[in-house]
Amino acid sequence: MTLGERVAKAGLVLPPAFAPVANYVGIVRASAHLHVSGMGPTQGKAIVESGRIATAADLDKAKRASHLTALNLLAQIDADLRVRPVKIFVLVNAGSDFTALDDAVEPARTLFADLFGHPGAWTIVGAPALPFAITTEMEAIFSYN
Amino acid sequence: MTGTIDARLKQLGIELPPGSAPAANYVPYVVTGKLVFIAGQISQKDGKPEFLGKLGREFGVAEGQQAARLCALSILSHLKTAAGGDLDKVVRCVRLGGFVNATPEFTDHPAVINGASDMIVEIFGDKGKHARAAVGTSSLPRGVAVEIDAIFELA
Repeated sequence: MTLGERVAKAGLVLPPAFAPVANYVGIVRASAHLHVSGMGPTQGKAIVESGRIATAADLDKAKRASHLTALNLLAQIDADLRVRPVKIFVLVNAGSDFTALDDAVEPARTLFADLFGHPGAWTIVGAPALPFAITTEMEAIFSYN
Repeated sequence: MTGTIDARLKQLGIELPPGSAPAANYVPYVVTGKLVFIAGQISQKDGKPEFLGKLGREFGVAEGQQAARLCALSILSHLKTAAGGDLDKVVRCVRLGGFVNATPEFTDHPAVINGASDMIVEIFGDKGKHARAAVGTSSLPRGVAVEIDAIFELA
């Protein structure tokens, strides 16, 4: 199934593909893989979720941010390609004593698991700051054919 | 049949933990072509997070290295599953990504991740020599001290 078919089947609408803001590109195809640049919780040019996750009270914001960030990763990919997630790297703008990082990214991981049958191999870390104070950033490697 | 690497593990007194079973929305590794990408492994023992705290606060380098070794053990356990149970199919370790839960002032991240790198090279010899990144983070899942992910090449 193509990415576009998977997204449509899930009843999802992807945000407009974020246009890189400097001398880099959003996605590179190399050999059998797609490398997607770090994306954030954006809607077009607008940042939707920003700020640090410090306490459990911020968890909902983190969840919204991770879900939207995952959609932005997918928005970079040609919808006609048949892709599967390989490696996902997630940075959560997190306070130094916030440890529920798995919970913070759960909606994103579940989204990928539902769409592709498995979410790929994930690495999740807390970052002391992120560009433009975005709440989450994700980069990814997909395989395609 | 016991393979060369299995024999080496025994010689070093290293016992691999059982690999955690994939859950609905978690997989420990993905094989693509000849590469296996292993998800970030937190320091844990017997399925429970181990070394809860930060380098530069709760822990020093020696403890961080022990945490890194625990991460490496989990990585090797998943690697073995990915290789169909035969670690002799490992062509090389390509890369380790090491993340250290540290205070802003702590700067010995590479020494901490050496706990994992040294173990991989002890086991695999030249095939274990890998590219690596070692960085500090503001926090890690479940509050552990170290998390490491990996890429290996299989035959």
